[in-house]
Amino acid sequence: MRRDIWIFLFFLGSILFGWPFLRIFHRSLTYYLFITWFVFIGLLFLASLLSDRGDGGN
Amino acid sequence: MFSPWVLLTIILAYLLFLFFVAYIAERKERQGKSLVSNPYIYSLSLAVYCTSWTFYGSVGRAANSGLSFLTIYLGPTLMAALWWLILRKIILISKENRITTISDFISSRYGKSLGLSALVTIVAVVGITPYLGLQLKAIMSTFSLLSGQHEGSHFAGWFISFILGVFAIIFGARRLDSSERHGGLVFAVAFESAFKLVAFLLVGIFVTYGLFDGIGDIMAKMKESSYAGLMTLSEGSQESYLEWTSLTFLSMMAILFLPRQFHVAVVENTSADHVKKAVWLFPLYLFLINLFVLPIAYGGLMLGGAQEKADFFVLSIPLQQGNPLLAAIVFLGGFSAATAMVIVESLALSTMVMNSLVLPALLGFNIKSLHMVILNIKRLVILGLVFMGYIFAVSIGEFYSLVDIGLKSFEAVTIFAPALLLGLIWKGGNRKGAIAGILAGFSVWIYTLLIPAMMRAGIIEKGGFMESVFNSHLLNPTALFGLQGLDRWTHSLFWGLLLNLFFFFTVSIFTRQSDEDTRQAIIFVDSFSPRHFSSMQRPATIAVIEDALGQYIGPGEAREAIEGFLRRNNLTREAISGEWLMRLREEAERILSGVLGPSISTLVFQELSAMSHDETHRVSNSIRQISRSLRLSRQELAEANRQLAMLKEFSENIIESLPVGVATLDDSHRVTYWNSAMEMITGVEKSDALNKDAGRLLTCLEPRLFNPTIEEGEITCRRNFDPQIILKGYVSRLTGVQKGYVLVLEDITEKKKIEEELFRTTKHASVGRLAAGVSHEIGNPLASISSLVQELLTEDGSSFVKGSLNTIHQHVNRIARIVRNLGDFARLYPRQRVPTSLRDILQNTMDLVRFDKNFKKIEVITDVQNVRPVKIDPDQMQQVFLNLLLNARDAMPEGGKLDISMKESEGRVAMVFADTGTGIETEVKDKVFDPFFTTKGPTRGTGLGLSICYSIVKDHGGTIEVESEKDKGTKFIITLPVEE
Repeated sequence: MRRDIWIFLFFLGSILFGWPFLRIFHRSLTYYLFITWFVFIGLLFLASLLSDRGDGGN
Repeated sequence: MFSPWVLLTIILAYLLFLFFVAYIAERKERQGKSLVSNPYIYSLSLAVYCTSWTFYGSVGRAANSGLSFLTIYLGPTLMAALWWLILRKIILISKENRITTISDFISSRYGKSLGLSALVTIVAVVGITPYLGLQLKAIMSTFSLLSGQHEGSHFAGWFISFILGVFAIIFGARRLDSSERHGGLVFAVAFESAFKLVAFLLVGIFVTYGLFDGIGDIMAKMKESSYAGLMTLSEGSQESYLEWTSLTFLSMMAILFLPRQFHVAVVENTSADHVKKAVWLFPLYLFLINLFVLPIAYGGLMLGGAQEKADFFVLSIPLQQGNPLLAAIVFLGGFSAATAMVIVESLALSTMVMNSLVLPALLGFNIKSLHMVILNIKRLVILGLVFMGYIFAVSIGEFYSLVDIGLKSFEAVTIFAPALLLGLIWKGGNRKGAIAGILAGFSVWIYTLLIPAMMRAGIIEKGGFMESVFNSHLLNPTALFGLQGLDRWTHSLFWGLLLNLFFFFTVSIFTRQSDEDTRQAIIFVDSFSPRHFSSMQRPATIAVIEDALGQYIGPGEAREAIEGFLRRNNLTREAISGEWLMRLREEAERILSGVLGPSISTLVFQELSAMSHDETHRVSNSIRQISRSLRLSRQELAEANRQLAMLKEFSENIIESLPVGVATLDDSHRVTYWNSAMEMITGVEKSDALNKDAGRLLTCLEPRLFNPTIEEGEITCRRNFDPQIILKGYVSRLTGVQKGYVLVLEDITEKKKIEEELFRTTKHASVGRLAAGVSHEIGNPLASISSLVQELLTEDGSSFVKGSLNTIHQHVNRIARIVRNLGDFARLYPRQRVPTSLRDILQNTMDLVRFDKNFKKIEVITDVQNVRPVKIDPDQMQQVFLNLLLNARDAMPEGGKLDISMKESEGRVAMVFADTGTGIETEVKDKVFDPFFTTKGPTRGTGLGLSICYSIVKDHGGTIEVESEKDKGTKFIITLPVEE
């Protein structure tokens, strides 16, 4: 599961910061990019917490 | 404005402070209180990624190209999501193998190839040195900007380059360190990362909230300005989505493969677990340092700044707004960003140059105090790299922007991506494939990026043959093979990556891997431990290892390392086994790998090997053949084992399915095997029989049977708790390796009954044939005698004659009756069988005997159920019933009770005649159906009655049995089949 979370996040980020979404939000792209970026960092933080629980902190 | 000397003083003061910080960190580390071994310092040290390009260049890029500057930070953010999978694996492999540079990592993966390592180093030096120059250019430019004088900036650049080189030497090459870990340096880098972040945030807040009314205000003003197009990517933006994707991908690769990133992320890493926090801490740092890039860029433009000078808005805005203190802090922030990069990059590149280029050249020379020579050369290489960067900055740096040079470096290190990343997951990649791929990628990089840049700088003169080549349709460096419409970064990335991957795969697939290549591929792809592979080469003694190690890291450090190893493993120099000697050699190779790189350290210890290369190769081949043979043997053994198991199961199935009981006994007669039939025959369960003495289970197993002289003995016995069951068997001695006995036992009760039945039937048949002859031969003359006697009785004669004739007549009648009986017995007159009610025949017979005076004393109880008619000869069956009734009468002269029952069951009619008479002796019970056998004495019976009954019943396909007990009575049981 731990491995899958990281791979999922990578692909999620690739989609969120890629072409279709950039086109969709092009009118307020600055806000979209910074907000998504911050949320994505939050997801990375949560994933690292889950990861800690998954392997007992090792 | 600041005077140059004031600025130099500030710089020196800052560098001194940095020395102090680094010194404190190193001292704490020596005391065992590491300041750097935590994920926060680790994450800050990773921010060496943010160079002067970030500090100054991002604002410039944002002011010229809009949002695309973000790709340089979104790429690493995305890659951070995979760090736990990729970076952690790289760290673990590097720690295990003491890998200290990216060139060593790649060469180590592909069979520790020196050539590959050298190639990677050359690509890195060529690709990164301009990037070093970019940092120095930034320092010089900001120095000029802040001092307001251009003249002194070159001297300042030279001086600062020298200081940075010295700094890198002091904290990176003060001594040869096998681990290449530098706690003081890392702490200084982390401090600089924090400082540049704070500086950037300060200027960001100053512009956003000091000069404007917040981000909303700047954005609103931008929307209304002529620069509004910078706020989007498409429809007016200068950059395309394709370029966005390419730059994101390039920065994803750069965060892993830039030599300085590899150094801080892998080599300086103290625990792979730190990666887990860095996964979000480092992207957070990138987020924060970019938070005010757009406000500063847009603010600068709104304040009238020119786009071409936007690279230094960060510094120029505070200066223009009369805030020299902030300008000084910003200058130091930019200086921090540049110096951290220069120090770490020059250190990482110098290690690569030493391990891949210098040391292989030095190896052939017999040099005294080699470790000191190595150390000094490394120091010179660091200074050389820094000054190469300086020369680039002052010569051609002015032709390029910060971003332009930075992206070229990113493109250069992306060349390593296929070999490194695919090398971690695909074992098929080999050295030749990696070299071919990197060469192809590097060629494309030179042709599509470097040559156009050199032409622009005037290094390659325009005109002539080269220009005609470059302007051709196929070989245009910016539209290779006619591919137009791509920006130069995407264009170079596309062709570089395509050819790189093509050659990597093709050459790897069509060329053979070397043995070392195969071993390393397994280590890098499957596991992190190389130990089981390197134990082939064994040096002669500890002294040899220490001497070899001492040549490269110094005698003192070598002795310390050897003693440390012996102490950790509780060993002494005098008593060390061959196995520990090999482990010591491995440890020494790892230590040396940290100093010289894995390729050189392997070469050094190969020379110390007790075996030559050919011998090692032969032994390696032998081991491979033995391994293959063992693998085949294991397969054969497994197959044989499988067949043996099948055979065992088959044998057990046969024995278990046998209708006879089989048991095996050990030498002391204890049961070791007891099959299912044995359980049924003896009535003893297997679990009760195993390990029990066989003599106790079967009383007929006499000790004589186990006499060593007897090979096989026959036994006949009756079941312990059911004597009716007759058992017969054999005890045989086992003659194989396993001593003991095998006991075979059979239930012959039924067989015995059939044998007796056959004997009786045969006897009846013989007697029947005799009786037929006798009745025929006697019957005819007897009829004549009887006729004559009857005729004589009609004649007159004396009373004596009359009396005598009467007597003769009586005897003749008696003889005639016997002869008739014999005829009946012999079934001389076959009768016709018709469906008849047995109940009616029984009733008729009862009527016949009812008036017999002796029969009247007997109480007859009948239990006759309705049965279907049976196809019989009624007269013969009546004779059977009559004989049995008369026998009962004779057995009870004083009266008694006769139970007669008749019932139908399972297609047969069963009739029972049970009296309470005198009964039959057990000894003669089996003879009652024999002809001429009688217990009534010669005058009362002919001994044919029951024989006739037997013959008649048998002739009708029935059975007749007798059960009797002396003085208690006799029971005759007749069964007859009911024919449909």
